[in-house]
Amino acid sequence: MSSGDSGPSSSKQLVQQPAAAGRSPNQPPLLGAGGRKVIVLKSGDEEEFEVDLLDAMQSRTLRRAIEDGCGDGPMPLPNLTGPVLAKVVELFRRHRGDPRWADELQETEKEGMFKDYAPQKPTAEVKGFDREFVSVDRDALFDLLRAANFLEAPGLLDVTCDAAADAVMNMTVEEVREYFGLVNDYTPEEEAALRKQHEWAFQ
Amino acid sequence: MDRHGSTVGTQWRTRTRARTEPCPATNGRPGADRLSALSDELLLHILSFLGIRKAISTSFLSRRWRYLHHYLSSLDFSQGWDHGSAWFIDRVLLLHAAPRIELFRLSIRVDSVDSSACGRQIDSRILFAVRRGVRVLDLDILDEDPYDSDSNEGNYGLPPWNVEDFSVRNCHLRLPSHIRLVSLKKMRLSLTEFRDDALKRLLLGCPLLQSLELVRWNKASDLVVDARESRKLEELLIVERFDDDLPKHYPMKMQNDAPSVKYLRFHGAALRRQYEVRDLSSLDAASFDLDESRVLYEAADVFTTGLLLRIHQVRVLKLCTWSLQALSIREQRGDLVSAFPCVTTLELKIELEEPELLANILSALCACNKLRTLVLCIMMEFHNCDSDETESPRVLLALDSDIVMRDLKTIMIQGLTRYNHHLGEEDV
Repeated sequence: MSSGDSGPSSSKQLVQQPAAAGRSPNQPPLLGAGGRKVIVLKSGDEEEFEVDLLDAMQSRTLRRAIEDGCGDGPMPLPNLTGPVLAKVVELFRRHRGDPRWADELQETEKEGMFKDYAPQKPTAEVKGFDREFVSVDRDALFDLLRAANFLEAPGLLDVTCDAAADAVMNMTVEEVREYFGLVNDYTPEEEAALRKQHEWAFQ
Repeated sequence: MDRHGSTVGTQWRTRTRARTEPCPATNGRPGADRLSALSDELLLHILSFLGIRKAISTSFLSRRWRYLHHYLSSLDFSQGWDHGSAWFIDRVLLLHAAPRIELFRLSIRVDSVDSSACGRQIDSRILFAVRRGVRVLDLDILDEDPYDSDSNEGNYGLPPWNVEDFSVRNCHLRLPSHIRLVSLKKMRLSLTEFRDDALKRLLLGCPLLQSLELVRWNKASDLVVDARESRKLEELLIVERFDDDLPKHYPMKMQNDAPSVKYLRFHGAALRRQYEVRDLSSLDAASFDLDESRVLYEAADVFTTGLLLRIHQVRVLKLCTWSLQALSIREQRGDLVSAFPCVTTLELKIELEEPELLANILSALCACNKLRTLVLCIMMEFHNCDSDETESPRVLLALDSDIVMRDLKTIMIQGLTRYNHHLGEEDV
């Protein structure tokens, strides 16, 4: 693995630290203000975001990249747009230390919690934020779903998939087709037969 | 917007598991079927939030969806199925095609007329889940007449249990004695009764167990946690609250023998006749949240001497109003002088209704003289701003008498936002 500066050259430089050139892959990622490790994510439209290392680790995709030593320079994520990445980064930050979100960080976080007392985040507030996070239109929800899928972030996947399920929960089959622009490729006979076949489930 | 299919960061592309996601040309165009274009994995994840019936109905959407619901990785039958509609469960299981399932949740009432047949059916459903390597197994089996699954022991023994998270609720299910749950990390037993040393035997079969929750468990017999062989067991949660009209204090004892446990949480009420700590030598943090309204001297004393004062090595301690009051009973006997010499973080959840509680807080502070962080969660709002109670926090922080708070660095107040500024002035 080469160091991070082999990526596309960045137009904006948000990081204060010297360029990553010459750093070996084994060196820890850049330190942000307050001594916390941060990495820089770059969206497809060249926007850069500083993310706390612990937050970024909520994504398995990012974690693999960081473990491979790619956390030194800005990490390009060409298939995520700036607005989507901004939302995702914010959600990661809100869920910092949430064991469900950062599966393999659980141990260290738990240890930390008992060592230096960290007040529990009010879960209602976080939940409210989650709800707000997915209160977006259909297309934006798809963007978030795809981002969650690409980033392999379990918590993000849950929030977005739950929202998608919520959207269809109270719809009839016809309404779901209409809402999502699904094309019904069954013949009417096929569909009738299928419904008959599944009658047992709806008695 | 999102242009899918373009290059991923070049350096680490190789390690990123490619998720095959169809990318139709229509992508992004308004009205295009972006839903069906998502990967099976993602669609199944969405379906898992819908419930099984609704998931089945998605097969009518289009061909893409026809068989998707046969591959659900979580099967949640927790809608309170009675035995009569149990065939629905069996039908779903029969059609199920996924080689592995993540979660299996079964909530069922055992038919009292034919409990043995029902028991066998339940066994076979559990077996279905276990054979598919289920990771989270959650059983809620309501049976007035406990069925005996000992006769089916062989069934359980067959496949290796990959269960990591195992919850049992309600049922008096007798697990086979030779059960080995080699992957189990978390176990939750609620509203169940384990006879004799059944829990000990079960724990012997769970070498990796990290978290044990006993919720309203063993009402009718002693609660004995013997986890000497469970070296990975770190968390122990005990909830004692039995909402029925049995005598207020159960003539049963509680005994803890879990040398590896680091975190202990105790909720509910102190109902046992006797509390005993055999070995909690690794305990690092303990939290007591008992919601009894009255402090009965005898119960409090038994609880304090048997449990509370036996965990003196903890560094983090959380106490509720009840346990504070219980603790203060011992103060007159001088038991509290540095009773918790290692506590550096103390969290007090206080329902400040009576001013005399402040004395209890002082006695708790007296017991923890190495305190570095004090957290006060005050649960009641003062209704009258002008009342004397505004002075209460001042009294607390006036460093009089013999309380040593040399090391105290942080005080956090929660729930009492209105008076924060008063307290801020007097920060130590």
